[in-house]
This record gives sequence, structure tokens and C-alpha cells, in this order.
Amino acid sequence: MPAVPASVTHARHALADIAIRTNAIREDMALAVSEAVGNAVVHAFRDRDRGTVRLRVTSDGARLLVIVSDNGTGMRPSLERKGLGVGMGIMRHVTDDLRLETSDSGTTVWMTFEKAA
Amino acid sequence: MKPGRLKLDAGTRATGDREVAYLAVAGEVDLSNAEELREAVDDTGGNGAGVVIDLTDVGFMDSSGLAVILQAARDRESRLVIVAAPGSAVERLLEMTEAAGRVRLMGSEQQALEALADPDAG
Repeated sequence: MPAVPASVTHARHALADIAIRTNAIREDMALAVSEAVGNAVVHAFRDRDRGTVRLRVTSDGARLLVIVSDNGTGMRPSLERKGLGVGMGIMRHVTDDLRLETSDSGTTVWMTFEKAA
Repeated sequence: MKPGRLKLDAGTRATGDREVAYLAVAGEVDLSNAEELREAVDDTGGNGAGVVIDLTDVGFMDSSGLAVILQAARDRESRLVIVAAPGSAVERLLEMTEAAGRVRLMGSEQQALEALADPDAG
């Protein structure tokens, strides 16, 4: 999906079709995806207008893994574009595990959700 | 309501012998429409008796909406009251980010209006 603000909404609603046992996890996933895609849109494409954000969801039965990746120029906080810290804090709070890799060729965020009932 | 659509209803409410600005927000707040919310909040003014932003019907809000609320709270200090239903997604976001201590948060319209009725309160 294109790295534009409307993709934040689309990504979040794309997860609505995924069967999840509890509303709490559904809310957590919605919030985490909104923050991750929002961070990509705001922070990952500082040097160009266009970019792509990918959303993937996999499950091993016990856990859901949500992966948000972009082909931007890396995610670094900047004085001009605030908010990265708040979004990361929210993602840490609502996920069971959070990993992030960022480089000059893009950023990938792995977010794990335990599917406990 | 379509995803990404916000319903914004601005008006006034009487409380005590004062009239306060009242902004009712419904829908989902994220990066796609946070600026729309910011403009609506700015349009409520803020130099008068007070402003209530009612988020009772906001089913989802992320940090982009939170930033709008916190900026409004900084600008208006105790003259701004936020309404969010107990246990709602908005209240949960405020709690998890420790923002609840930086805004006057009430659980209902009535409580919000009572909070602004006394000019010496807050």
C-alpha cells in the first residue's frame, strides 16, 4: 500500500477479518498496526514523496505475528517530525514482543501477540 | 460511518451562569484525519469560559489523535475538559501513555459541564 495517511486506516481495518479470540487482542493489534504504519508514513520517507508499506500477518497457532515493513530511508526521530517515541511506547505496551530493524533501505517491525483466551 | 471518517459536531452548552464550547467527536481518529480534528479543536476558540471535547463516540484513537488532545490541554490548561467513557479505547490510550494525568478527564457530559461551571475550580 502507498505510504500515505489513508493507509493507516486501511491497514487497521484489513486486520478485522482475522479471527482473534478476544476483543482485547483485536484492539491491541489495531493500535499497534496504526502506530507502525503511521510511523512509516511520517518518519520513513523524509527524502522522497513516494514509498510503499507492507503489512503481513502470520500465525503459528499460539501466536500472531504482524509484520509492517517499508522501503524508506530508515526510521530516525527528528525534531521536525515528532511522535516516533510515543508510537513506539504504545507498540511496546500492547504487544507481547516487539522487534525493529531499520537501515538506509527500509524498516521492518515485528509485533507478536499471544492468542490467549 | 466509513473508516477514516470523523463526525464533528461543534456547539455550545450552558453550565451554571456560563456558556462553554462543546465539540462532540464520533468515529476513529488516526493519522488520516487527526489534522481535521486539530482544526475543529482550534475552531472552538479557547479564550472563553471553557471547552469540552466529548470523545464518548470515538471507537479508536492512536497517538496522532492523542497529540491533538495533549496540545489542546497545554493551550487551554484547566479550561479544557475531555469526556471519555470508562473502559473505552480512548481512556485506555490515555492511561497507557500516562496522558490521563495531563488532561481533565471526565466520564460523562454532565460531569464535564459541572467541572467547568465553577470559574474558580480546576
